[in-house]
Parts: sequence; structure tokens; C-alpha cells
Amino acid sequence: MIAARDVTFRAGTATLLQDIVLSVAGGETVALVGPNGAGKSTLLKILSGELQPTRGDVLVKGKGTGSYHARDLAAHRAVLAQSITLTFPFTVEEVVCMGAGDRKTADVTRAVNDALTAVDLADYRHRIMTTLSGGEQQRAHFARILVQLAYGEAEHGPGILLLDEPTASLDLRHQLDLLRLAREKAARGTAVIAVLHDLNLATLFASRIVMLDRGRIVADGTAAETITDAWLERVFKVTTAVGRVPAAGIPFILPHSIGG
Amino acid sequence: MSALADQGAASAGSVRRPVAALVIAGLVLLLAAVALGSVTVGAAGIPLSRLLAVFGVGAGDPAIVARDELVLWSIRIPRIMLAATVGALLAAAGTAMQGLFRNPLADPALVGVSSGAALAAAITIVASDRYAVGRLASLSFEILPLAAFCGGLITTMLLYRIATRYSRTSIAIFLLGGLAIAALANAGIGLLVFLSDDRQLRDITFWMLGSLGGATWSKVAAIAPFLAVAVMIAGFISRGLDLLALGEAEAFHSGIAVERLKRVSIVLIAAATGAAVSVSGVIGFVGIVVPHLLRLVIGPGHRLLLPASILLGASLMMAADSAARVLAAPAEIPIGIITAVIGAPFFLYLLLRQRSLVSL
Repeated sequence: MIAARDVTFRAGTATLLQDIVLSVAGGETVALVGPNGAGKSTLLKILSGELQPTRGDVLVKGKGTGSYHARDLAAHRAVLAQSITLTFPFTVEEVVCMGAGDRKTADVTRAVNDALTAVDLADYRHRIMTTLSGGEQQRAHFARILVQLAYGEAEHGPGILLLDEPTASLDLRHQLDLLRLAREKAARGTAVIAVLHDLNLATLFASRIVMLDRGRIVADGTAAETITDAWLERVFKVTTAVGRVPAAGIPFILPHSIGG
Repeated sequence: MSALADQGAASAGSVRRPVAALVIAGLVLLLAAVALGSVTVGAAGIPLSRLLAVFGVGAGDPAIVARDELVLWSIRIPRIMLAATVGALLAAAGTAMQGLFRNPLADPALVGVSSGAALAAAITIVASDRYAVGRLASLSFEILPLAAFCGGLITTMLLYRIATRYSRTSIAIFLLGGLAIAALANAGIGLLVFLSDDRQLRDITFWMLGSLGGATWSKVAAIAPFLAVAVMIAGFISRGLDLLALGEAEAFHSGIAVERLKRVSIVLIAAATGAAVSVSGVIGFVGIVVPHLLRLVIGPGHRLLLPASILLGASLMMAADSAARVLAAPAEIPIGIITAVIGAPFFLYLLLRQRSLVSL
């Protein structure tokens, strides 16, 4: 569905990404993890087509991101960015509608209703975005992305969903809600790639974890393969005790101490 | 109980947008009413009853009817048409500018785009007078809007380069950069007026404060195509400007070819401002007041905001021009003074409200 082929990205003299090889198929849920400055967000920007790699290329459904028209690319992949500042007083509904592009309003209403209900904001549709809390705004933007994905899917089949720290401003319940919605998308064939800081959420959510360190992919596999004491110590420089959630058997992480 | 309370919290601060068709219909009615009012007032007042006589409804003294007819068709109506067109163009330019720069404080006159256009127009007048006395001088009405468009284009692009770094626009640098550009262009106009003996340039107040005096059908005809182009471009960029409010990256993610959107918007801003300035000089604040008032009522969506701005801009300018003609009759107040008296306090109010955004 989406593939980075030998991607290197430089900004000035700094090499932010080095020889990235990553291929994600429809139905996969991939968590990009790594310490601050590892290149996670940069990789997401490269995958979305927002940045073009210095070397190598990114293929979306077999075609380089640079050769798509912005409009066609938007029909195949959607991106939820980390923090979005809105200039003008749009309502929640107007923002969510933007996900539909220039489709006829009559058909859009249902998609918008579904998305608003999914993110638990149905009662907020007429509120001005800027009067909402950060987490509520994030959910409204996710609803917009869901609308964009729904239309892309209807026209071209399942696409790609890229999430940059989607849970950062959300409370626990809505963190889980958002990741569940993303995974439901994956179950219907969407390729989902999310930058996640919370490793415990990453192991709950992802079928595959890609660990970055200083611009390179250092580990790529299931949670059991990647979330281990050895990897965490090497990449994150922390001593942890990785346990297993009893019923599901997925790893969870508890640092030994805050140090000092 | 708690569900009820939740619902109350959610609906508090809710906003309902009016129906688009009603908004447009209302603004068209307003435009018609203001136009009718403008026709009747002026140095030579033409009350409604005599107005009807000119259009063949009811009878009137033939001599007065003939005089009214002359006043109407050769002076009043071209002037009103010019006012409406200039207002529509300036409002369109202001709305597009605010959308492009993601900044509710943008106005073509405030940030030097109008001055840049005026300078280019003044240079053209002087150059055509000096170096091509015959043919070009008589053409200058037709080429003035084009020259002003070029001046506006250069200043808008310059401003964009100054204010935008790493795809973010700094509101403070935008306003201050615009101030510097305006000062420079105004100095250029002042110098040209000082050096020139051309009677078209002699009146500096025309360029600095704006005027719709000396309106003719040929001026209306010269800028009408620009309004047609502006209306067409407005339809083309409105969705893009909506998404641009989310940020450049988000607009791109949502399928907007951002670079093309910016280029087209800059052309619209320059063309609309240039055409308006070439016939009326620098008239400020229309571009900031109109879209802001409309946003309060109809919301910020550009698909409705742009056409509504064009209609309200036309009405507002006709009303301001009527005031300019009536308040000190038979003399005329430069219209820029009237728009500034209304617009400048309004701008200050917006500035104070946005103080946190403007902080350096």
C-alpha cells in the first residue's frame, strides 16, 4: 500500500533520515516509536508527501508521492497532524465537512454525522472550534480525517491513514477510542501508521512496531519482538521492566525508577 | 440528568449559520436599495418622483427631466457604478488577502499593496505623458488598471516573501513590512507629484485619500473586466482558502495544491486592488471591515464569504461615496477620509482583540 524505498532526508547539513526501507500493507497497524528527535515525525511527513526525500522515494499504491496531484493523493491517504491552529471561527461541523472536499453537500451530511458520532462530538457540531478544549479539537480534526478516508475509500478502495501523535491531547478514554477507530479502519483494509510516544498504547494498538533511533530504523517487528528490555535500554536509554498483560499476553512497560 | 446537563454544555455557544441563498438575496436587495438612494443624492439632488419621470414613469417638466437625464446618465450613474465596482474589488481583495495570509487584519491599503498599485499607475501616467505624448497618452485609461495590477502584484509578492518563513506567516512582520512598503510607495508617489506638471497627477489627494470624482463610463468599462475575473477566481479559490485556515500542511493533506492556490490568490489580490486603485486612488479599510462584519453573521467559509463580500463591498462603497458627496455639498470630501473614519477605529478594535497574535 505504501512503501519507502531507501529514503534519506537531509535538511541543511543534518541527516534526519538515513536509508529507510519500510513497506506497509493494507490492514496493518504500524506504530512508529523512538526517542525525541529520532525522525518519527519527519518520516511521517515524507510518507504523506508533504516532504520529498533527498534520496530514494515513497510509493503510494505503486506511484511516487511526488507524481500525484495533491487532490488525488488526498483520495488515497489522510493525515492527522499533531497540533492545528485554526485562523477563522469555523464551527466543528464546518471543519469536519472540509474532509469531504468539494463533494455535494447533500451526500456529505451523512458522512459528517457518522464521523461526529464516532468521535463523540455529535452535540458539538455547531460550536466554534476555538471554544473547544485541545482534546475536543483534536477529535474534531480526527472526524474530518475520517470523512476524508470514507470518501477516498468509496472511490478508490481502502487507503492509508497517517497519525502524528494522535493521542497526545486526549484523555484515556478518547485515546483508546481513537486508536480503536483507527484499528477498525485497518480491519477494513486501510494501512495505518501512527507516531506514538506512549509505548504501552503502541503495544495495545499496533500489529507491528517500527523503532527509530537517530534517523534509522533499528527494530521492526511485533510488540513481543521489539518491546524488550534490551531494545528499550539501547534506544531509549532507560532501564525498564517489561511485563505481560496476563490475558492478552502483550508486553507492557514499567520504568524501574525516574532515576537520580 | 447528567445527559441533559451535557447537552446544555454542548449547545452553549452554539452557532447557527443563515441559509446561503437568503444571505445573497438580502445583500442583493441591500445593494439595490443603496444604489437607489445614491442616485437621488448629490450636488444636484434628484428626488424619487423626478427619478421616475426620467425613466418615463409619470410626467415632469420636460426641461427638468432633460437636465436630470443628463446628470444621471453622464455623471451620477457612472459614478455609482464606479463606486460599486471599486467597493466590490477592494472587498474581494481584502477577503482573499485575509484568507491567504491567514490573518484577519489584512487589507490591501493598509499593507502597501494599494500604494504599490498607485505608484505604478502614477509612473505610467508620467511616462506616457513624457515619452509617448500622442497615442499612449490617450490609451492611458485602458492601460492604467494593467499597470496598477503589475504594481500590486509586485508588492503582494514582496510582502509574501517578507512575511512568510517556513510556510508560516508572521502577523507582526506582515503588518510592519506592509507599513514600510506603503511608506516607500507613498514617497514615490509624492516625488512624482512633486516633479510632474501633468494635470492628471497634480492632485495628490486623489492618490493618497482616494476619490471617485471624475467617474466616466470609460473608467467603469476599464475596470469591469477585472471584477468579472475576480468573481471567477473567487469561485475557484474559496475551498482552498477554507482549508488553508487549517495550515498549509493540512491544506495539502486535504488535497489542495497549495502553491497554485497561493499564486492564484496573489493574482486576484493584485488584479482587484490594481483595478480599483487605478480609477479611485488609495481607499483604505473597505477590505478589512467588509469581510469581518460578514464573518460575524455568515461565518468564515469562503464559498459564501467571497461573493457576499463583493456584494457588501459594493453597497458600502456606494454609501460612503454618497456621504462624501452630501456631507460637505457642494464640495466633496475625499472618500478615503470617510472609509478611514469608519475603518481605522474598527481596525484598532480588531488589533486590540488580537493583541496576543501580534506580539513580537
